[in-house]
Amino acid sequence: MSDASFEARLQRLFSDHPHYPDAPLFAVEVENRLSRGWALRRVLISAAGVAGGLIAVAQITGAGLIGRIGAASQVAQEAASALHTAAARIPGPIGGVGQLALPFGGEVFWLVAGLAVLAGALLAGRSIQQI
Amino acid sequence: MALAAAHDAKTPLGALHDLELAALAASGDRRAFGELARRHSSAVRALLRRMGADPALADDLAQDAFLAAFESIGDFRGEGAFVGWVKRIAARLYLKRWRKRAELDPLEVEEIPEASDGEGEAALKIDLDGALASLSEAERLCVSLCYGAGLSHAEVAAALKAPLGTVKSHVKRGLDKLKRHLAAPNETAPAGTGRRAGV
Repeated sequence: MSDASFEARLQRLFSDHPHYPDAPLFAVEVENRLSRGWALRRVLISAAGVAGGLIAVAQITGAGLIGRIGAASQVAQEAASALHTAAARIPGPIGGVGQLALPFGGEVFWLVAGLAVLAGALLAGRSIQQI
Repeated sequence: MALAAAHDAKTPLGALHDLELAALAASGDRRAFGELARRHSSAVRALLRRMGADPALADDLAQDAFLAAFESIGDFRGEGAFVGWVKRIAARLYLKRWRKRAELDPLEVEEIPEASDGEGEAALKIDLDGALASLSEAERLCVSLCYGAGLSHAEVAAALKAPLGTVKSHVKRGLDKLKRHLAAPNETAPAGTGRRAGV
């Protein structure tokens, strides 16, 4: 028998294998191990998310960011009010600026900004899921 | 994936081609992957046993190979058979284990006695497993990797971290012995011979 034909025969012999009767059980075990792996992964990702969120909240609270935002909002409101008053004192067409002031207060501005941030976060989350 | 999208939920998984199942598995369908494992586990387990793993180790490694295959199912392009791809993963896992053991317990080159003539019905049967048992461990490993897992000599040499010439000579000697065993139907290997030889 030539080397080539013997090698071809050997490959055929290797591809001819016994069928073990417990093959279905083996497959079930593989599926179970896959499910366990996915469940563990989900738990780990959730735990990491919660931990990250808690750390972020602690950092924000610890740094007094909310207080600073409030103070900044107060300063902005005072500045806007002063500007509005000054503009009203100026005679002529410039005095009309007061009429063009935004029709909402600082609270509405921050609310819209907050909603925009939330929408951005949702979009980012959705994009990450799709990837 | 297009194949996954084309899959009708009413079609039983058993009726799907390996490529379709692999596409479904790539989209996260673990049941589809289970069907692949059901179809091909015997081939992978048999290869590992033929490489020299005992049945328990062969089963453990075969499971690890399927889990590793699921993790990297996106790398499977369908250019070859799915079972061949998993066999190569399994073979590499076995080699990793084999190398670790070889580092701890260096193997001695051992002369393998020629197989004695067999008798009766069993001796007439052309039995690859019996013939492989007559090879040294290194010969058996190299032959199984080349002809069972479809690795090239160079890939085997790289996986074993052995010189290419050494691998080629193991394959050559192994083939010569197998040729003798498989060509003569009245020759068979003595059962349960535990032979070891260094690569």
